[in-house]
Amino acid sequence: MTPYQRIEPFLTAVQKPARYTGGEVNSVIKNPQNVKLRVAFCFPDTYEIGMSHLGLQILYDIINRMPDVWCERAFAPWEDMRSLLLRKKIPLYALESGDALADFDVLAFTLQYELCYTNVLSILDLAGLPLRSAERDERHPLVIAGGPCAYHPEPIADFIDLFAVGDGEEVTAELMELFVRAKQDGLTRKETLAETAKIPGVYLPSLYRVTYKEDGTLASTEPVGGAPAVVTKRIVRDLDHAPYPAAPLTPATEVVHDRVMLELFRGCARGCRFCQAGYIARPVRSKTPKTLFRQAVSAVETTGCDEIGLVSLSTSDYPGLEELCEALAPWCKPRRVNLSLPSLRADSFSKELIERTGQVRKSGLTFAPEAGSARLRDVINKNLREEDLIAACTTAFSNGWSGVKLYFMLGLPTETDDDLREIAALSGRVYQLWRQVVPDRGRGVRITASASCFVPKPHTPFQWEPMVPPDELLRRAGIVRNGMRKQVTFHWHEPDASFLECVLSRGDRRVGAVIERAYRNGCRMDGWSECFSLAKWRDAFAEEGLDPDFYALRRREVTEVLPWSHISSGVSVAHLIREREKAYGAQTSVNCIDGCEGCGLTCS
Amino acid sequence: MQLTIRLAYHKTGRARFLSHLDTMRVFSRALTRTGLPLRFTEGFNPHLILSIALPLGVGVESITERLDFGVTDNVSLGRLPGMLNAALPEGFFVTQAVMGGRPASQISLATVEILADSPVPPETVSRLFQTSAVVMKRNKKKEQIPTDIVPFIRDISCAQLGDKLLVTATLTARDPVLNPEYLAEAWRTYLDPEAAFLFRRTALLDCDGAKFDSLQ
Repeated sequence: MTPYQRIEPFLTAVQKPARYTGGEVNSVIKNPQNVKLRVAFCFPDTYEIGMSHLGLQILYDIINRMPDVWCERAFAPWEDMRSLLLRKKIPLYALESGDALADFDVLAFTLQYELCYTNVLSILDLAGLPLRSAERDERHPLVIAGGPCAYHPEPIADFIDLFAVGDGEEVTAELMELFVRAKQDGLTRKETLAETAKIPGVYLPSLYRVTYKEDGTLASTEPVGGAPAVVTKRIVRDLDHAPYPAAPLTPATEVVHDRVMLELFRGCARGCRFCQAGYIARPVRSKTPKTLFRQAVSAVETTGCDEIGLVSLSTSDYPGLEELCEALAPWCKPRRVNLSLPSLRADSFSKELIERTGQVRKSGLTFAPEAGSARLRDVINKNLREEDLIAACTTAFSNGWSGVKLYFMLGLPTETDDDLREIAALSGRVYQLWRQVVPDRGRGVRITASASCFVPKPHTPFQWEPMVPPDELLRRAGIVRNGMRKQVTFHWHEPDASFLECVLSRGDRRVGAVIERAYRNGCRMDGWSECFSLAKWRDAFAEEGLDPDFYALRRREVTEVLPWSHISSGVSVAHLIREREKAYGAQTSVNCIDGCEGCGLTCS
Repeated sequence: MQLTIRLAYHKTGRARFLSHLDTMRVFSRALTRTGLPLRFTEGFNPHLILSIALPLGVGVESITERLDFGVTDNVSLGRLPGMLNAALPEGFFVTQAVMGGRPASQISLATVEILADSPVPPETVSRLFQTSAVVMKRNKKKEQIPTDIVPFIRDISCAQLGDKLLVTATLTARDPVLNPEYLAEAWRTYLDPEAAFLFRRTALLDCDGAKFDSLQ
């Protein structure tokens, strides 16, 4: 009996058991006798989050196109399922076959955000595997990882055998081919891993020796045994011809993004200085409208979904948007398929854009000014003028939208109390605008301002900045709240989780012991406010003799060796320093559509 | 043209863990994939005209489900089960498609088989559910209200089946619907806290206790 068959009679005892059964439309079933390599794609968060992730769909498809390899899926079980598995002594299994993860050749994690690290350990633990890479041997699967956190992997490096940095399409296929060959040739675990180090973009933590200075900062991260001094991310240059799932997995149960995702382009031309995604995903690579149309039709026809999300980091910047929508809208309309546009820039929102997509749901609209004052928006290079926001909201209100959400950040570099008061003032002006624009105010309006806490991220111009301490962030949230008129709903994120995110993104290899300790002390699902406890994490830091403030709250010198200095996003450090200087002077930079700031990457 | 098609289908195996809403979503997508001339609701947010008779609880299997959906043109009923079975996930199996049928509101009772893994004599089980009162807390509008479930059990029998027990019960399906999970809960409360169950709905009956329809 497989672990799944053993747990099945008890599944009604857990919440939403359909998360643990598999059997979705377009899931891939192969005969284990006919494949040479078995891989489990592990998403270290709940099923609903993981199944909304496009990267999973893309890599699942790429690996399963290989006849010799079978890729299955596993997710982090919620606490009730975790305790059920532990109580019944049943190991965690993959959804397709129901077989134990421990019997796989490879566990491939995607690390989308730092607060999932304890879930990585939870999956390894529930699979019955030693948590640390150094403690695993020939009996155990290889544990590999990719995703944005692979750009600053040191805190989680003790638990992962190798990281793949950058776009996953090509490097995943290369790694799988290598693993198949290595297994056929009878290579040892060590020999196999050594072979992978020759693949560009692959980082093996075990091949680097880390030394520290007396003050606790890094002295060096040096390669041993011929590994490259700097691992540079992989870039898929021709996204138009890159593989894309023709028949995406279709969950039967509700997931966060319950729609077909169409990736218009990768990268972002804007260069917002706080945005790690914008920096690490450079340069911009677009697909042609023709390719996108074909991919959209295929995805809808094979899934039966009634919504297509046009996704990217800044969808309104896609040059072929008009052409794509003109082709897609008439195809979608008779089929009652809805096109949805996430993350719109206020300066591109127009009546024409909305008409083009044929979008009819007018429930909510979100704009992200990020900062209240024009000065601070220049500091972060948001390049958004208040006139543009006002124009966008005017269009929205006069075309029937009854709600606008505004996203801001607290704790940006150089932020003053005046900047904070401007968040309240700007939100108030949007409310005033609604009163002016909408003659019949019977239906009311929902203006929501949300503020998250700025986390200075690796590989951005703000990577050397200290994070603003949590108690100070609370004081700043108070200033915004006090200035906010009562018609505007104001939410702010608890700074504690952001603080931990900062520590885990900027920590060095010593932080690994803290992650393990926190996990042993019961930290899991840290991204979920109902589960998160900073107090438990602080205990774990104290028990390991490390100070989280050292990683989060300290201003770093540009000369300091950073825990991610040996990983390159392709953007030059000189460019980051230039951008940082310009930020201090509230000077903006040109975006990649209108010019070039020479970031170090070449656009095609 | 506005036509209603009724499907008879099974929901077994892994599919039993899908909720009523999940099942609606699954059929909505499977129907879309068949390319049939489907009927949609009017309005800003059009969706398929689709309804399932007597929603099934999570974890309960059934070999007697009914689903109605709207089409705008004649379709080949004979080919429909095959087309849908190719588009549905594992555990769903459409057995028959017919035009229209009795209103689902005429379903009054449902027969359920409960396969129990529990070392209790069959007579003890029968006796429990035939006593004057088995009071269980029922969820009603977020409140838990103590209710005697025995009046909602129209018929019950229990027999040994290998090392398991097979309970066949006819439960009310209207005013109110008795979820067979309450029987399991009563079992765990009064007879055996470790008992494990598999539920399967096997028949739909009208108020006279006759088969609701002749679909297989």
